[in-house]
Amino acid sequence: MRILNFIKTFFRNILLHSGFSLLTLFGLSIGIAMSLLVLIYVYYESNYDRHWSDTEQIYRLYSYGEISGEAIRSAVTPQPLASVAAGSEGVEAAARLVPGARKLVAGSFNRSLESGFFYADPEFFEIFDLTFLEGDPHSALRDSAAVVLTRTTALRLFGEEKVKGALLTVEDSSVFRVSAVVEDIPANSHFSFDFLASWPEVEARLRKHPGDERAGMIDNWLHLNSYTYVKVNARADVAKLGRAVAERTSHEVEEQVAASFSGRGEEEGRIAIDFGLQPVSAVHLHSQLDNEPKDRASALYLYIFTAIAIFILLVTAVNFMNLTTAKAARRYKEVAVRKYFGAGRRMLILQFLTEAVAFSFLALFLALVLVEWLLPVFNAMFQIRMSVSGFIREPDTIWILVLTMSLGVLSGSYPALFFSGLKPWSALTGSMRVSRLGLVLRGLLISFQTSLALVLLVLTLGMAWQLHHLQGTFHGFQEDHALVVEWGGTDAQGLLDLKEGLLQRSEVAKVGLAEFVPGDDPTVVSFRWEGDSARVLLLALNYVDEGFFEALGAELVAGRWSRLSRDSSETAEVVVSASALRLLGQSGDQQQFLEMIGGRSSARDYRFKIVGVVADISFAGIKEEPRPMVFVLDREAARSEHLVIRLNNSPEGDAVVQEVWRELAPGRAMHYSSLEEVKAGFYSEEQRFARIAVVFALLALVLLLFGLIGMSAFLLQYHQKQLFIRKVLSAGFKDLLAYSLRDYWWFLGGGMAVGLPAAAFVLQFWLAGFSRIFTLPYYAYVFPIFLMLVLAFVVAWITGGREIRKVVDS
Amino acid sequence: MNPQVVVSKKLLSDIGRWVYVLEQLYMIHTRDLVKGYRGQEVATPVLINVNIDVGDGEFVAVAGPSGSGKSTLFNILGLLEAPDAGSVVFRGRDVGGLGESERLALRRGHIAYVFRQFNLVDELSVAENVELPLLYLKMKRAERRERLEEALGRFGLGHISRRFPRQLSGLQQQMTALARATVFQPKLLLADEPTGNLNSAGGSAVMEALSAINEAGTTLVLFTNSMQEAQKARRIIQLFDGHVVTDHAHT
Repeated sequence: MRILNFIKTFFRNILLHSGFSLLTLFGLSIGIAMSLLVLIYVYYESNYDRHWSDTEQIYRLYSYGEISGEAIRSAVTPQPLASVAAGSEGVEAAARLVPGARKLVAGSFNRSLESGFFYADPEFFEIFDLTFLEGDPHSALRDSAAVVLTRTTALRLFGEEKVKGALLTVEDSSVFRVSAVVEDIPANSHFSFDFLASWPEVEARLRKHPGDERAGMIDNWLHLNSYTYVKVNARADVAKLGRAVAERTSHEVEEQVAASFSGRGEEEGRIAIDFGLQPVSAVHLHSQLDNEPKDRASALYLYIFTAIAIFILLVTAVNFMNLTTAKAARRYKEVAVRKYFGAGRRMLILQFLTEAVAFSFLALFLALVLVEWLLPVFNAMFQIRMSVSGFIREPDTIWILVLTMSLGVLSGSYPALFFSGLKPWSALTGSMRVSRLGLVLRGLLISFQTSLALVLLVLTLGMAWQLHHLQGTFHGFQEDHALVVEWGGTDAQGLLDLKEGLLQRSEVAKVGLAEFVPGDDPTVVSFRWEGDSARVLLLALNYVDEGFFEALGAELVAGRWSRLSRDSSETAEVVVSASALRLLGQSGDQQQFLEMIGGRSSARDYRFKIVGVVADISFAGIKEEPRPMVFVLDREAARSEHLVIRLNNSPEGDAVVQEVWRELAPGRAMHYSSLEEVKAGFYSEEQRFARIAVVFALLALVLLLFGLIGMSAFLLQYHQKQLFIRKVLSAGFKDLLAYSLRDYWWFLGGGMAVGLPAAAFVLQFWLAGFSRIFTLPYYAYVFPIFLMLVLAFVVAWITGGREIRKVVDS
Repeated sequence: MNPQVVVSKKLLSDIGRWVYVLEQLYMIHTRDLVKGYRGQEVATPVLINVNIDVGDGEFVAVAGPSGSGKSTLFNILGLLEAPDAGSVVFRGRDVGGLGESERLALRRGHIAYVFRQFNLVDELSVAENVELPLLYLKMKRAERRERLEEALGRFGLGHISRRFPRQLSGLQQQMTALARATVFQPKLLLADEPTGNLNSAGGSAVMEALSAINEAGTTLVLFTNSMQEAQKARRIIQLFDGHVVTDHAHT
């Protein structure tokens, strides 16, 4: 009953003082909404792969080891590993998953270039329980040339979901039969596919190339190319399983090393590959491996975000306290009367806590509306798929309620103690005075918020500065007027024809072919340098044609571009990147040869002469050190999968390329991007965090705004008596404003003094992850300070001005 | 004076024996009350050796000019503030050493207050203001309703019970304050210049209402600086510079 009375008074209070109450409510809502958004994001990221049933029994095998002192830690494993794992104690099922190249796929409704084409063992569905719309998990991948589609893919290619038995044409040459349709892979899974074809297809494709290393992949223990998953039984000892796998594989690996590096004695001991197990639910946040099927997230960022969410709530709560008690005088009378008529301290505490909790829930309601409204914006901004419905369900609903309740109690605690401790008669007579300590505490809060806002603003500017300059740096290619087009791994003749066709057009300046273009993750192969035969070197290998470097706009550092020799007895020429040359330790003696290890066919494909050095071409951005690379000339476009097209400066360039494509590759979907887009893509993750930082910086400013409003309101009340006295002594409007708000500027300035070095430190911390650093100019520090001063001045002028005018006019 | 006589049990310290004695019981009485306020540098004495006895059912006026210590005495008799020295005995219980919560327990349901500034809660309607003390007495809803209706009727507030203080005249506000003060049938009513913000007609109406409250059995202590109003009481205590100057019955 009393509670109802409290809530009634509370709402009447809001209505009576609607301006200030709405401000308080709005501040609280924004705080809750922002922390909810952050928590939804944290929840989304930390629940990767938790949707599989028995997810804690699913593990992924990974490879680790070293080659000539270079550590290997990779998510991909050799193909024979799965059968060893399957035969181990405690393993219920083991399956391989391997991504296929981008392919041209045709259904009855549509055809398109598809990148989500994967292959897997039949046991895959025993491990990952996808929802089957059609077909059944046991037989789906048993037959060769069987393919499982996801619902969206079926709709895209066939125009309907029920397509079991339908035929799918791949690259206009092979045909798959749809054996099942499954629900789309949940977005927060560490892998994602649109097609899952049966494993025999992999082996069939590899066997097409007898004599080269692709055929060897099937039983090669040194070729890391497929993901291996196991499901263990509930009582399995995973550590023991790991030891058993290691024991059973070490012999195989040793044998392979001996066979591949035969006769080279001493270095064999330096080649070691072992396999470990990691829980599948830990992949997204905690895996530190190369070659992941999807981008990982860092657990550190999630910890930071959780801390930020809690922090936002704390600041929100404190702002609430500030705002409610700043205008405390309004409620002195009510509190005093209640005390006179029998309200004890406990009862008043209860009243103010009830109010704060009611306020929090009101704010929660507004916050949920805000979240619902902002979520699509956030999803687009951070390139994720979060939803409120995925988050707000039991037991999370309870958590939200508990959180809101705690926020209410927390933010109501100070007002409750403050009001319940009032002496009724002094509250009534107005002889109440807030202690100096209260002033200092509020002031320190303002200082703190100022520092925080400054840190975030400087960080945001620093990130923007760094990313802007990184993108302006030469990446080893000229990104303007250049396109990269995907072709895929088949139909080499078609690719050569296309190149010729493009070169006929005046809008096209140059065309090159390559296996890998910037944005790809090139294969790494072990080489040996004849000048230093004891060392095995890991170098990225890219097959390119003679036109590649010029089409890309690469920069020749030394020597000349390589040329294809018609004389098969001559040693093939290669170009290496500047970093590869450094690794080789080459000293100008170009008579030595570079040899690819593990070659089985003619020496011509495996022994090279270095004729030129190219400035490092960045394949993944210049955050990290460039990957040393060898460019081998590709005969007859056998390995080329991309075209690099340099256009003359003509507005129709893109259209012409498309026209030629339609003419020479009819029916084949064209997938292309400009090199500018590719370059921007290198920094998409950093851009994402920069955008998050912008949001937090703006939020910090908004919170600071509320803090400043609360502080100025409080100061005016604190100095009220003095204001009247000074007014009587004929102080003017400006004198009174300056007098009452002088502490405000002190605390603001203090916050900035602390914030400035903190900002520089945090920015340095972020920049430490880059191999090249662009120092932020001093005016980037001055600007946020200026911005905050303007904000503070406006707040002082508006809130302070109004109150002072009342005093002046009274 | 109308002190009640009661029998109480006392320990005789010199012989260590319990005896029964007859004692006068006052509603409230003070002995050698001293109260001062400490500023940062100087201490200001406000009440000096004040001895006041208020019997059950009495109507006493405490009269004195501004600064004579009336407000401080109001707070001390109202059990809101503790004296620096001396004792205050409320209904036979020495409240000197009591903590805030114990004083609250003695106050609640026993002492009511009326102020010059009315002091109604702006956010509550007339009825809700009057009902407020009952909420803190944990009274059943039905009984609360009954008392409320009765109090509103007694002070002629029935037709304006849903209005808010800002919609009322000064007299209506003070009548609401009187209804609030008496709705729980207190033993002691302390009124601090209750007519100070009213015109003479309003003032007389309030004084009549106060007399009626006293006649119904509530002990009334009226704090005023108007001798004319003080004359309405049966006894006048004059306070000057913190001292009781005169204390005599008046007919």
